[in-house]
Amino acid sequence: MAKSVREYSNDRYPQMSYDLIRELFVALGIILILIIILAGVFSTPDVPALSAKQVDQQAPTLLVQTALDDLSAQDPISTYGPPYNNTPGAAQSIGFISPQSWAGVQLPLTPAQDEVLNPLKRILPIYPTLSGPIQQFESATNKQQNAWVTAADNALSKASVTSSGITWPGDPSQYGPLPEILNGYLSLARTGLLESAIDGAGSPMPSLDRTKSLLLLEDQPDAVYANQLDMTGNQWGVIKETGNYPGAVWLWYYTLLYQVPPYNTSSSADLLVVLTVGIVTLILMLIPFIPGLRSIPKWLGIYRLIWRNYYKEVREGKINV
Amino acid sequence: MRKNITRSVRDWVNDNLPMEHVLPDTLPTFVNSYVYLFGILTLASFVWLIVTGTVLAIFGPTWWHVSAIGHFFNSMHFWAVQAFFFFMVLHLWAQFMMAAWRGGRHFTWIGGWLLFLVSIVTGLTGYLSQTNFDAQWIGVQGKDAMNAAGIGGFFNLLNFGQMYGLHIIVLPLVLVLLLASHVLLVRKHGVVEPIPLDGKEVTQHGEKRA
Amino acid sequence: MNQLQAPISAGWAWHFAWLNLSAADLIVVALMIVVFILAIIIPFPKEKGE
Repeated sequence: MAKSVREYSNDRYPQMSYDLIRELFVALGIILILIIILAGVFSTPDVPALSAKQVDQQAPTLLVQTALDDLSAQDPISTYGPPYNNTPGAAQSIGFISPQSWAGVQLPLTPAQDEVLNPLKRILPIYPTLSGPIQQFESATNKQQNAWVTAADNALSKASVTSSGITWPGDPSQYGPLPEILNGYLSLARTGLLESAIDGAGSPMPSLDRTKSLLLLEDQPDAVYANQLDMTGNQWGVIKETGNYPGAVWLWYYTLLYQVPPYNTSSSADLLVVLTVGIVTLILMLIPFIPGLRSIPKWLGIYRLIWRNYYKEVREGKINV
Repeated sequence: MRKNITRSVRDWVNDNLPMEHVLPDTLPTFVNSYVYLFGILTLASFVWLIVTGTVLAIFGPTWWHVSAIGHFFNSMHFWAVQAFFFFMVLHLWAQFMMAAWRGGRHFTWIGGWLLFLVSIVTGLTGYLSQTNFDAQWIGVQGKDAMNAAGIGGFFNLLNFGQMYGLHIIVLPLVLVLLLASHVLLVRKHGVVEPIPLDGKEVTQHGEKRA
Repeated sequence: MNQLQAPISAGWAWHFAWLNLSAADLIVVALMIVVFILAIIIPFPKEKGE
């Protein structure tokens, strides 16, 4: 049977006059004044994104190191597992629970090809001398490739690296085609076109998906830059805002977990945190149905303060519901 | 005769959401605390988020880097986000302290949590839409949690087009719909009654029950 | 060398290493608690009843 207006439970209580729309206008005014003052006084931080060009100019060794790691699959993405590639045992899991491996490889990515060699191939028409070295590197055996990269890796600290090129120490043959490839890579970065060359241009339309180029600097360069901005702190980057601005404070119950055991030591920290937060949130959502938990407000008794006038009038017999 | 769906819906609305309840001009006298204002302040912050966000969307995602006016609108958007979550969390605390899910109001409580969760995702996609280092850093840091949860391939924090589209149209639309149902549910049931000192709850049909 | 510098200064950031919470975040949380307590304690101006 339909509930009639008469049975509206609020109607059992004594009423006072009220103006909902006026209250909304007042609230809109308060918030408008508040955000204008805060925006005027504090503004917002806006630190430009880190580009490969900037890394090339300010820390070229870091860019060379990144390229070497990519070529020898020593970078974090090469062995990341899903969604980028299939690396046995890389996916986070707790027992049999491993959504990461269930989801599978959705964004296939091979850093050596996608981050280093392919962008260089794209500029071959204007940089034809790179064609030989790239061919030499790609046709070499894995073992040979790794020997070259290891030699370059070990020599990098003694090499003289500038934004325009590298002078390697010792016998150049031990590095194979890498000196030319890496010089070409630095040149491409210096033009500011490396990111675009990585993401590729299938059409003249804007490239809206920057996954590959963003993953190039994600390891060391981004972390070094973030450290300069006081934004590091394990996974806290999710919550931390540039400078002295409040970040996503409402995420504290999510990010806090990364700081405490067992989450801060687990190799499946992300999965553990996501599962914990999911379960806790579900419990909080379903509080109305959970005996005990739903009585917590009654035990806390804050409600007695909120409705203190009502309870006073009930005790004085002025209200009888 | 076939059931008339339109008439059924109209009857349901008339019975459950009469205009006297949707737009009330009286409230029970027990509504007598500043904690009752957190909800409407959250709503007001949301309205200004939509307004400032619309201006930012009209001029495009990189406008605010080059225009002082754009930067000011970005700042208002940023501080409106802070106000939105500030008052939403206070509203949540207050509703918890009042055990506001009583009297058949459990869907209002659950809907409030859905609003909070969708707001968090909207905030995240907003951070990722800034086209600056914040967006870059939060993207590469946040992707690991998404990947571990198995959704990183479908909800790719590094795909600007996806994040931007979600932030400026899909998620706001979801929030508007959830907010509308939340407010209508509040008006359908009325304000939650004080916790009875004698332990006898007032049911949604207005009777007392031990 | 090997130091990347932000082209603009983001400003000095004060944060607590043990929690890695910035001062700004802590201020916001403190403000939330203060506003909540004040909202409960301060008597609401009473409307004229009908």
